Amino acid sequence: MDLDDALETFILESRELLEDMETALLAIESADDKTEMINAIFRAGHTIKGSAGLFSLDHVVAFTHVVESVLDKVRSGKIALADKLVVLLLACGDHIGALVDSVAAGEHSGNAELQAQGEPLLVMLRDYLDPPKAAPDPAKVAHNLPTADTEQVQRINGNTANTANADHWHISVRFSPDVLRNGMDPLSFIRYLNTMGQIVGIATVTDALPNAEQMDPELCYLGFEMAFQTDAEKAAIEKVFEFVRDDSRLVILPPHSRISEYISLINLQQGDAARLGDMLVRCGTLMPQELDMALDVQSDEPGKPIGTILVEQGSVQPEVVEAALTKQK
Amino acid sequence: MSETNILRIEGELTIFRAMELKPILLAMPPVDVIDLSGVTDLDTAGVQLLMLAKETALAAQRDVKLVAHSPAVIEVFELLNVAAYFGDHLVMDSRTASGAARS
Repeated sequence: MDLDDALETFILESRELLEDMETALLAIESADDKTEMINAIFRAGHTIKGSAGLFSLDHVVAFTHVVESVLDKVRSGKIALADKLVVLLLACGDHIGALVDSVAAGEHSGNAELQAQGEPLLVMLRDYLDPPKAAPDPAKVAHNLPTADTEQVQRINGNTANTANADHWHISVRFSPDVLRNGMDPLSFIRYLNTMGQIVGIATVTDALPNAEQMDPELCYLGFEMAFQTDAEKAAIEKVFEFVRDDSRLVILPPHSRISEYISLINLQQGDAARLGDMLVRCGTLMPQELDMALDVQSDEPGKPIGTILVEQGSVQPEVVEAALTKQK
Repeated sequence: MSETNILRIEGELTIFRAMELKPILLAMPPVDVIDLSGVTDLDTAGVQLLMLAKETALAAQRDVKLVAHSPAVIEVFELLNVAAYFGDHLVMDSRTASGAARS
């Protein structure tokens, strides 16, 4: 899928979602069960924001983020969906529609007129939001990274619980070399993940960067290993990468995955596997002891295809292998 | 010895200028210092180019120092946690090590 196709999909999808949102807003007053409609309204705002983020349409993200924050409070019952708010949300839907139309017309950064139209809506939306809470202190989050839990280490060494101690997701991604040419920047995906949760550790993998002569400055050579703290479901994390999924190598490991799954990830890295192992330690996904154990297991069975090991151990979530191995064919 | 060759990059350091900037970053005589104070926008393509400049210099027993990082650069370096990548190389640079030994 190239940029034009992907962007066109975004525009069509956004317009459909906005129609759904308007239909739900108009019907909600007389509806007996408002839950489904509120969910549809929220979904529209949430999805448009997410997709816009992937295309670096920052002005669309900025506006829909505020709408989504209000909708989130409606969904959780903290704000009632009174007439006044319905009218405001209808106006917001129209404004998002105008933003999408301007993107369709080739204006990827909006324009002053649209911005001026959005301002009064934002002021009214913010009235519904509490004063912003302080963001979690990154230093504190870092301190919550796995520490040497003696009991856990012993159990790992005793081979009775072969799971990682860390309670965050691990996302390993190697984008298609063409991702930049297709108009998408890996940084947008990483920034967007930070709106769904928090990247508590990240290692940028530079191994694929060739020498000066061979390096094509328009191709993407960097890979990313990320420790990601979130309450989101796996499907939601996968959706972030929807537009690049076909061409990328993406591995998403849930919290407390089996050590064998980290081994498979390390083995996917071409070249120096130990270096990738170190990166998993650096971003806090594995403890040093866990890495040692992973590499020990690997050296016990040299040359054995990792797929075989994983199937034998019966420890793999099928979608993980599928995602990981598709690109290897 | 020749004097320090400083390259100041103005504006975007992104995919849109990657083709133009690669030869400038790798030009001879080699760049010793890259001044990033005028960088308004940095993307993955830009980060890669800075890495390429660094790796190329190190491979030739030289170094490239990044200085005066603009806010746009700092934001991306923090997002990707690559400050240490450029910093580690500075620490490992042989001239720095020998300089320290002499003092």
